[in-house]
Amino acid sequence: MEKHELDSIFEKTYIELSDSEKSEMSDLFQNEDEFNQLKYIFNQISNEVDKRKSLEIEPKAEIKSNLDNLFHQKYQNTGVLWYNALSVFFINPEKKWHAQNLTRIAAIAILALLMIPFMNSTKIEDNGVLTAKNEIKTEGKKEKEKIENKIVNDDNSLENESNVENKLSTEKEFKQTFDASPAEIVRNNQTFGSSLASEDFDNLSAKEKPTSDVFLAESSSLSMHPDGVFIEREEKNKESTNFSLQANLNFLDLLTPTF
Amino acid sequence: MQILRKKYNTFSDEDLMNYLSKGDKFAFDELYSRYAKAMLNYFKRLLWNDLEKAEDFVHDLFAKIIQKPESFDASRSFKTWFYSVANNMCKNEYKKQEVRKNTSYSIEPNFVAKDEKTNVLNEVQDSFFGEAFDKKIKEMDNKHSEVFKLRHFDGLSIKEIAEVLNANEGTIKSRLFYATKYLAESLKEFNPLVNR
Repeated sequence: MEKHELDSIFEKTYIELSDSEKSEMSDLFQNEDEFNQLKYIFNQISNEVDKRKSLEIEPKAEIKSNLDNLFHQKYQNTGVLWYNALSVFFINPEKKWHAQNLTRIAAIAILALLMIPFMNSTKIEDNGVLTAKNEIKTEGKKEKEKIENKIVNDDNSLENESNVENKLSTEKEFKQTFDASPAEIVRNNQTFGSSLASEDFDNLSAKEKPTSDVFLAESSSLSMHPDGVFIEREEKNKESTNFSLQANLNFLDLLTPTF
Repeated sequence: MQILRKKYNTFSDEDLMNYLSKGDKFAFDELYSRYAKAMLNYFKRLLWNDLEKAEDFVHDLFAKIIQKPESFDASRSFKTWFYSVANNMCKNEYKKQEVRKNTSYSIEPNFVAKDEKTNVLNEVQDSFFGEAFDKKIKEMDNKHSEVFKLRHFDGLSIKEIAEVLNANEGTIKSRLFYATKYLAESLKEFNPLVNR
């Protein structure tokens, strides 16, 4: 009979016992008095056992240390950390192959490798989407640039117009100034300069010949420049818009040694 | 490495013994923490309350499982195997010391305790119950007392006691019944209801 069965019997009163329990325990008690006596003693014994268990002593630490030494002597070669080592973490000889950590890690790695092509395909699709978006953007940008260029050109044309006006006024001032200088010196210079200029100009190849209006000269009689540089400028051409600021500055520099 | 340490406290005794046989120190530590105290008190009870001798026996018992772990039969319960080894050690000690106390107290089925008419209830205190209990346990036949002790002090089941003592369960059950009855009859003087 297990302990819990005995306990359950002694937790009951004699009246509560079934016939089967009474017959089973007939060796221990025959009547209610004997049952009560046995119950009391049994409880006393249980209390005594509990009391003695609470007084149980602990083994000395010396015993443990001696046993530890004995253990280390016995298992010198097999390290304490063998089963706690990293190698056992990966390959535990007591586990089945599919339960090994190494197998699991390898499976994860294979899955990751198999995922790579799918990851790349996703990237390509993404790039396609991005490219389409970029095209839309670039078209928009081009339109914007066109509009901006138009605006800038309009501004430049306005600036050119103002530059031309400035140049015309400068030329008029120059002519007025030049008319006031001695005529003899100017004419000698004009003759010498015009001959040199015409010869040099003829010697230039077709490519080297300036196409700009700035360096084109007409006749020496019309040219009034002291160094023989002749400017093709008639009143009708002076209104053209291809007169750059740089040319204007060169022109002014040429005037400097004259005066 | 502490991170990778196994949870030894969740392992069964048999698994720990298996690890111990391969040199796992932590398995040994866990087994020691589980059984050292119980075995010390077991030896103390069986060896005439000789604490020093009991400690020596605990050392020898654990030394055996260190030196010869292969002697443990994995098909058996470690607990019963361990107690049976301890029990055999005590028997050897009895033989060695040639001390056999109260060997003729085999309880007959028709045993009737002496009816001492003296009312001792008023004469003894409750603390005396322990002394009387010890006395009656010692007076009891060894085969009955050891079953009683294993049952009540060590908390082993009938089946486990049968394995430890290498006897069948029916025998153990009858021994326990007679031991209980003997004690109840012997200690009935302490029952105030009877002596009223």
